[in-house]
Amino acid sequence: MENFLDYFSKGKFVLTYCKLCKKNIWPPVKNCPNCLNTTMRKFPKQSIGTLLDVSYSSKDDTFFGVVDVHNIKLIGTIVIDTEENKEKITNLQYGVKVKLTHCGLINNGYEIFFHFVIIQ
Amino acid sequence: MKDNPKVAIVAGCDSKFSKNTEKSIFDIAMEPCVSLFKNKKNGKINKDNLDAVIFSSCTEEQYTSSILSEMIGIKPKISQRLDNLCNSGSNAIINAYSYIVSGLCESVLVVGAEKTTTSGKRLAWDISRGNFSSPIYWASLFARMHMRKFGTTEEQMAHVVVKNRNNGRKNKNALTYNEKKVGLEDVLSSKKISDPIKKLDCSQVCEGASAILLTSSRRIKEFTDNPVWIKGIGHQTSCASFGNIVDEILTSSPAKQASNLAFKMAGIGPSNIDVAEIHDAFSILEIMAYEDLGFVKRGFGGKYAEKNLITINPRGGLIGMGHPLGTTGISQAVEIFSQLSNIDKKRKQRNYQKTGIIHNLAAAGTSASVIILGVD
Repeated sequence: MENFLDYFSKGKFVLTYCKLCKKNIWPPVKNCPNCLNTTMRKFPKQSIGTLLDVSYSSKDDTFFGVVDVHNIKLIGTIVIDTEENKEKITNLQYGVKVKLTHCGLINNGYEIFFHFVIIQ
Repeated sequence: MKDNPKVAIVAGCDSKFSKNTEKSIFDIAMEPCVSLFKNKKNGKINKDNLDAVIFSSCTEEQYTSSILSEMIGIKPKISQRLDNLCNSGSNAIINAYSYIVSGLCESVLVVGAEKTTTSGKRLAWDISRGNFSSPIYWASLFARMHMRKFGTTEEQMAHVVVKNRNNGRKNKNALTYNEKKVGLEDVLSSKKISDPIKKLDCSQVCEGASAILLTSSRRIKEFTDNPVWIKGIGHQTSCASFGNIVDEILTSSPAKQASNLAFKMAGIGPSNIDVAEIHDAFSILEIMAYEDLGFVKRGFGGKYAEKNLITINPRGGLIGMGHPLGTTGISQAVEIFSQLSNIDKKRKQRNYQKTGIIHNLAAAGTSASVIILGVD
C-alpha cells in the first residue's frame, strides 16, 4: 500500500490489475482476490467514468460523488467549472460522464483525493 | 444436530450511554456486569456458573476479555475479544451461540464496551472512500441513490428520526434521555451536513456498555423462568470497502442475505416479527433495513417509515440511544430481550410481542448480522 501512496503523492493514478482474470482491482492489493495470483500495477492514461450519484457536503462546500471508472468505484470531488455543469449535477441523470483531472494525497498523506470534471 | 441444545438469553442490561467521560474502557465495561449480577430481578444468575466471556469492542486496549474476567472475578474456560467495527456486538453473540451449541461451553457472558474516542470511527484501510472517509459521506450517497431510484423523500427519513429520538428520550440509558420532543419540522430544519443528511438524521458515536448472558437449554432452569431463545442467525460479509458494495447495496445487500439466512433458520417470515432493533446509524439505513429484512418490497422503505405497524427501535435505535460501536449489537439484544421477556414489563411497548429481530451493520453495510429471538 505504501508504494501506491508514493505514486499518488506524485499525482499519478495507479490501480492494480490481474492479468489472469483481466480485472482491475481497487483498493490496491498484492494478490488478486479471485485467483490469488500477484497483481500488477496499471497506470491509466486517461480515466473517463460514469457518475453514479452525487451529494453536496455543506461542511466542505463541495460536490462529491461515486464514479464508476475502469470498472472500479471511486469517491471524489466533482469540480464544478461551469453553470451548465452545476445544473447537470443538481438535476443528475444517471450516466453523466466525468473525467479524472487530479489525484494526490491530503491530510498528512493519509488520504487519497480524486477530482473529476463533467465532460458530457 | 438433534442433540444440540437450544440457546437462550437469560439476562441483559445496558449502562447509561454518555458523550465522553474519563472512565477507562474496563470501568465502562464493568457497569452492566455489576448490574447484571447484582440485580435482584435476575435472582438465579450466578457468575460462578459462567464458562466463557466474550468482549466486543474496537478499543486499542489489549487482552481485554481476560482483564474483564479478572475484574468480574471469574475464571472462564474461554475468554475472547471480538472486533468487527459496528457489528462487533452481534458477532460476539453469534460466537457465544456457537460455543454453546458446539458443547464447548454452557453459559457465556457477552460484554460490549466502547469509548467515544474509539479508533473504530474511521476505517483507514478503505481508500476507496478517497478523502470522504467519514461515514456520513457514504450514507449521504446511499440516501441520494435511494431517493433517485425509488423516490424516497427527506420527510420519510425524518419520520425515522422522530420515532427513534422520541423513543430515546423515554429511555433512561439513552444519550437523548429527557431531551425535548422532536417533530418532523425539527428534523427537516436541522443543519444539513451532507445532502440530504441533516444533523438529526445522524446517530452519535458515544461511550457505553451492555452485557447479556446466554445459556443452553440444558442449564436454563438454573438461570431463569423467562428465557428468550435465539431462533435464527444470519451473517454475511460481502467485502470491506465502500467502492465494492455500491453495486449491491440496494439489491442483494449483505443485510438482505443475512436476513434470508436468519429467517430460514428460524422457520418464520418477516410478517412474524413483532419488534425490531434496526441499525439506524443514519435514518436512511433504517429505511433500507425495512427492505432488507423483508418488511416491505425493495423501494417501499420510505413509505413504510410513515407507518407504525410494529415496534421498531423502542430503546431509541442508534439515533436515540447513541452508538458505542462494539456495544451496539449487544444493546440491541438487551432491548429485544426486555421487550419479549416478562422480567421488565415496563419496557414492553406492546403486550403481544413474541418474536423480535436484531439488524446490525458494519462499514457502509459491507457486512451485516441478523438475529431472531423468540419466547416460545
